[in-house]
Amino acid sequence: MLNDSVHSHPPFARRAPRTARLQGFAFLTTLLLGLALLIPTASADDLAKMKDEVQQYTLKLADLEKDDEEKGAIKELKLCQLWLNEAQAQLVRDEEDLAGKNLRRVSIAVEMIAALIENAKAERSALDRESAAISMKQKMQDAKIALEQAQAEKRRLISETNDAPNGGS
Amino acid sequence: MHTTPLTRNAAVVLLTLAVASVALACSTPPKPRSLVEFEAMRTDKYTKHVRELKENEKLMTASDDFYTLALEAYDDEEMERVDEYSLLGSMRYRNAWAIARQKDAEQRLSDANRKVIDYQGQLAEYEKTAAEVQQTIGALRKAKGLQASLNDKELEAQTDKAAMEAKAADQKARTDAEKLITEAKVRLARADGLEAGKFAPRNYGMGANLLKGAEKFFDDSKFEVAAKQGKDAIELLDKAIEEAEPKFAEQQKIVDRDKLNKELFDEADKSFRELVKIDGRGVVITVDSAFKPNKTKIEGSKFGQLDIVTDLASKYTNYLVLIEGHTDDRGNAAKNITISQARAEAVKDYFLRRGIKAERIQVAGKGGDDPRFPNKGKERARNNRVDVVFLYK
Repeated sequence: MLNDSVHSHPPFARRAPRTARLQGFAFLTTLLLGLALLIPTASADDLAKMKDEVQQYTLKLADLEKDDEEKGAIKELKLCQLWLNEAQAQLVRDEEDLAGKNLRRVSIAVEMIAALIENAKAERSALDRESAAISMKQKMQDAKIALEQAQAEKRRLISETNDAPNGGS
Repeated sequence: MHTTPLTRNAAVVLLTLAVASVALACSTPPKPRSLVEFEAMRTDKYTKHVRELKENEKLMTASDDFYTLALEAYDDEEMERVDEYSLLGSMRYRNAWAIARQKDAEQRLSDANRKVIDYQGQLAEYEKTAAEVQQTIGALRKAKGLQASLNDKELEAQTDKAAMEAKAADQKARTDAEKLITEAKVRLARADGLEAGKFAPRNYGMGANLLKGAEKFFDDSKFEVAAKQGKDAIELLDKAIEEAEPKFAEQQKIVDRDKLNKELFDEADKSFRELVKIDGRGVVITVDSAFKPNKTKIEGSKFGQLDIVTDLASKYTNYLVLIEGHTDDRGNAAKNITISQARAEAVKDYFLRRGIKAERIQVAGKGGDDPRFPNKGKERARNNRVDVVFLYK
């Protein structure tokens, strides 16, 4: 499930054309003033929610880091951790917008990192198996050569037996 | 209005700067790096494959949406938002890319698994066939080993047979050589007995040398050569014997004659003393004064001596008896011959009477030409005599 609420955070809000934007701005100002009393409550909920997200992402990143045995997403994990740390710090400073922006990044990055790690695992498995296939192919070819040599030896012995003065029947 | 070149050049520069400033002010700003990289990502050759995956549909839609937003922000020249949307879009794209790669890796894994199974199958097949072939090889080698062993035994038997044959041949050669050498030794002994060294020195010497050589070769176990030399020795010694035998017989006869002559002489000597002698013909016994002059009748006193002579003739049968009549030197020679002949005949008659075979007796009249005693005085009469010559046959 994609967490792609692209328009859900102010910094990422889709912007209308400039004339419509001026009209929208007036409407928005009025709406904001009307809702001014409700903001503190809503902001507090968002804050708690974002703090909870930080906690969840922290755990998630720790799991991912542990899961990244192939070290396929080291840079991404570090960058994501950096964003998460920034978001945490921003939440402490009540910079909810900036924190939201970073959490948005973390949210997408976590999914990407999980995919990168799975890909690295799949790559490792594929490489291991391909290596095993190559090794098995070599074994098979060696066995084939050994068989051909044995067959040649068998033919030689049969020929010698037939050529022997008292050999063959 | 008059203007200097310097003033004109400065005006051109200023005008150019002004035009450039206006153009710069009117142009769109350069695309931020984040957007450029995002676009490069989206136009990557792998992107088509990434989009084709159903699992990536939502991710790619989201990435596309962010791209649209980034472009809009770029149109509005809000570079911060361009960076942000490019970042988020890129992450969505990389997410989809990772899933696509994962799918590819899973496909590769599947392919590799299939290959492993295929190869394992082929390996098992080859190993199974190889085991069967090795089993056959083992059987063939065993058979070959048995054959070799059989051949060895045959060879051993042949070798033993050859050794036995060689031994038998050697033994035969030894026996043959031994036999030939023995025969050669017998020949040599016979040749020695015949004094072949003296009578046939060449063949005898060569034969004896060959025999020595044969014995030496025999001692050195060179039996064939020994046999050859033994055979040659026999041939040469046979020649030597053949050559020596008559000569030796002749010599032996002379020896026997001389020996018998000596024996006869010794026995006669006991009775006749100086009247017996050995000459080139044999033993000669003289019966002197056996007749009176001109007479052919035996004096009675002489029969005793004649009896001794006949006894000797009877004993020594290997002799012929030649009776020679003699006279003294008186009278006619021819007449003397006749008288002497008659005298010999008279003695012959007596001998016959005494049992001497006629075929052993010869007679001869010698007349007076062969006096034994001086024809003087009393001795002359002694020449009227007979000489009995014992001739060795």
